[in-house]
Amino acid sequence: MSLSSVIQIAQNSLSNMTTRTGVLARNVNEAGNSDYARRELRTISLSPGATSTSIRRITDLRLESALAGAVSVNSGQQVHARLVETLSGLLADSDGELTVSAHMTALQSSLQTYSANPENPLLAGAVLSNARDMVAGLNDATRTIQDFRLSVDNDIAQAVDDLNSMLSEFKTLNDSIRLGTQSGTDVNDALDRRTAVLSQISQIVPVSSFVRSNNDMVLVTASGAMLFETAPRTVSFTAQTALEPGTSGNAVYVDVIKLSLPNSNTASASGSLDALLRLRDTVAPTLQKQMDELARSLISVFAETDVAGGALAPLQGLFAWSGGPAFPTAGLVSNGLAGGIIINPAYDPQSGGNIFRLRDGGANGPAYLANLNGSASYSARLNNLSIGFDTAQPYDVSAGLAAQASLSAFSVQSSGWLAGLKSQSAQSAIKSEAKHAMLSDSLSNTKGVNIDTEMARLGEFEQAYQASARLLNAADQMLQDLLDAVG
Amino acid sequence: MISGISTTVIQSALLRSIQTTQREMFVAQIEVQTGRYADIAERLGRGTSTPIALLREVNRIDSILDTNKSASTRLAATQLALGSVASSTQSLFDSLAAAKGNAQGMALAAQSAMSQLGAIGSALSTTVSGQYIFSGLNTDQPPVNQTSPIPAGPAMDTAFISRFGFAKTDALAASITPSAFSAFVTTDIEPMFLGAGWSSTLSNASDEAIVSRITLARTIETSLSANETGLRQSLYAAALSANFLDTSLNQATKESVVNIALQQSASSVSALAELQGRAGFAQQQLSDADVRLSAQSDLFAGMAEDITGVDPHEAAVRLNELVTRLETSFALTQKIQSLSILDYLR
Repeated sequence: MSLSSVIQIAQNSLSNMTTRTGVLARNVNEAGNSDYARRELRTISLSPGATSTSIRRITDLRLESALAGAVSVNSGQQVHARLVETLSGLLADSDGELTVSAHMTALQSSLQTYSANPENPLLAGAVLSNARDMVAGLNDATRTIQDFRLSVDNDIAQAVDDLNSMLSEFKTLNDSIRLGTQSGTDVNDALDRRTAVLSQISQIVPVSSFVRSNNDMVLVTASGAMLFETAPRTVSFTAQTALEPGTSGNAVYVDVIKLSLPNSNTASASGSLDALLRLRDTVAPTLQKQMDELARSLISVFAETDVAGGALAPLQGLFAWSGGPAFPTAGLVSNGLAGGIIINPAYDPQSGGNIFRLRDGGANGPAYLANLNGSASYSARLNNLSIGFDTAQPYDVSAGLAAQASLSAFSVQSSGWLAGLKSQSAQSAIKSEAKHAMLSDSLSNTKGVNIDTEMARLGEFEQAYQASARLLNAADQMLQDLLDAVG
Repeated sequence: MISGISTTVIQSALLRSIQTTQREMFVAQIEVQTGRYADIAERLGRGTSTPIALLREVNRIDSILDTNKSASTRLAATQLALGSVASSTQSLFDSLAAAKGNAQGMALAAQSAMSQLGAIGSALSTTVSGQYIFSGLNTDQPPVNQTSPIPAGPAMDTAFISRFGFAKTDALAASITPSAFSAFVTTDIEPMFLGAGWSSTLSNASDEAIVSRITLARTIETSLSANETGLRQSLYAAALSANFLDTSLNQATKESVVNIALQQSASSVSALAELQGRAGFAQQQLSDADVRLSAQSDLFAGMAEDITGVDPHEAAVRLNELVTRLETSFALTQKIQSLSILDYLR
């Protein structure tokens, strides 16, 4: 081995160390970037003084794909929990009791108070004013729920827009990776960015990805629709300008395939789009049905009955609706009823009615008059109304509550239903956040940068560099000595 | 090989631990202050409906307790009025008994009957917060439709004239025999008070009593109507005596009037005692119901509190623990972040 080959080896070593330090500098520089995968310089000795180097990107594909799943679930649960909390904040008080339920308690109490002094117009007025609150509560709840659905509908449109723009960004990156891999150029930076975009897409919809030759990635949604294959598929959605109770919003399509909800559990979601669809199509409509059932039940509890013969059907009393005076179909949701329920004008002095109809009945004709003698302290009808709150009646099971319950119990159950959903959703969000944090820590530990490690390596490189420089120096000195001796 | 730890994880783990602790502290702080869960709905989930249902029951029971108070006031006033009617009737009985066989006593008995009539009338017109309590369900009208000092006085006089052809003060009245007069009283006067004439002319009251819901499931009658026989007999005895004892009737005929009035007032007094018993029974039921309802209300309120409540001591201990944990986190953050290999490299 000649001195010149020593010089060549030392030079090669110096050049490797410079490259290594360059990679290290890049690692340190990107230490705070969670998308960045740590790079390592891989060297292969070909012959003394000659090495082939390549920069490797350190990551774990299995962890990456597990994390993408966790990102979907976590993002879905966070959006779900936030939306349910918003809905609960709009409709319930801090103790979780729905406003309409509180109104109902007040109505029951004032009815009891009035039944003790049925001739007192002030107490009758108190019942009427509580009944007005009840009606306003139901009307407000309907408007709130539908406004909420509409705002969620807009969020869906936004999410779909975001998804489409991310998919087109994904295409750009995927193209450059595919071409770069074919031509053998460094595609690591593009890989980092493609992983980051994939994570953003996962926040909106859960996707499974697989890699074909040349690092070409294909994305498939959880329901099996192809989302990206060489080129993105178009995700389409039309937002609505108004949503009514009982009408459903538009579906999201990937090409022509409808994006379907993976399961019907109201409290879980995967991907923000799933959470939004679930709130718009399942949670809010169920709540609306509960309000509609409450309204229907109120109309029938406050009904006027045929006192004389008993042959005529009961008709609407204090609470009325557009289809009156007959009842809405028993045991069946009447969509939007809570939005349309009113105080019967025949009972309302402000509309020319008579407030004492509460005590007497008879708004639907003489057959329905309960207080036949016009007695001032006639309390039988009022007592019957009070009992009506506790009498079991059939409810539509699509409202998600009991099929048989009293009005009083049904309204309380409705509060419990929303609170249950809020609690379940919040707990799922905490769990999914923990799982996401754990996986993201694992992945970060695998692919992330530890500055202290890098610095320790730097010291190592410095020493190796010094040693190589010394070698070069020594060989140079030796050559010089040789030349001097020759000269 | 266990992989290392990345710088990002070190930083974010510290941050997360601080955030979690602060969030828990916020919850614990609210729970210490209020003694209840910070977010009841989130904590209890579907179980939230239990305290809501319990508190609604408490609310309803409380409003029944309120209305029971007014029923109870009405019954107490009824007792008082019945007592005063009974004592007036007793006085009437006494003065009638004294007047018996005593020619001078008749005018005195008539005066006494007149004043008792006033007392009985005012007792029957007792109102409680604007309600005439003896009017049955027609509480907006006084029970006795009285246009003259003596109820049905003018009607009795008209009947007298049409039967005998002269007024009760006419000298001819002295010729009416006791049996003729008794027949007149039985056929013409008695129905005004004890028969059909009562409800058609004299009474505004309805037979039905006021019905009150005294518990969530139970209703009872909480008033008495002036249509009760005992009250009508009392009025009848007093009105008869007041109207006919100070007239031109002969002594024997007046004696027969006194006999009828004595008989009526005697049976009235015993009937009134029975009415007082009925009112007393209703009062007893009310107070029993109140005791039960109060106990129920307390129980339900207590249960709701148990479900939504937090042991304040436990919450305070937890808060302290969290403060310590947060302090540790801060100290660790400071230590770990100041730990850098750069300080040790030349």
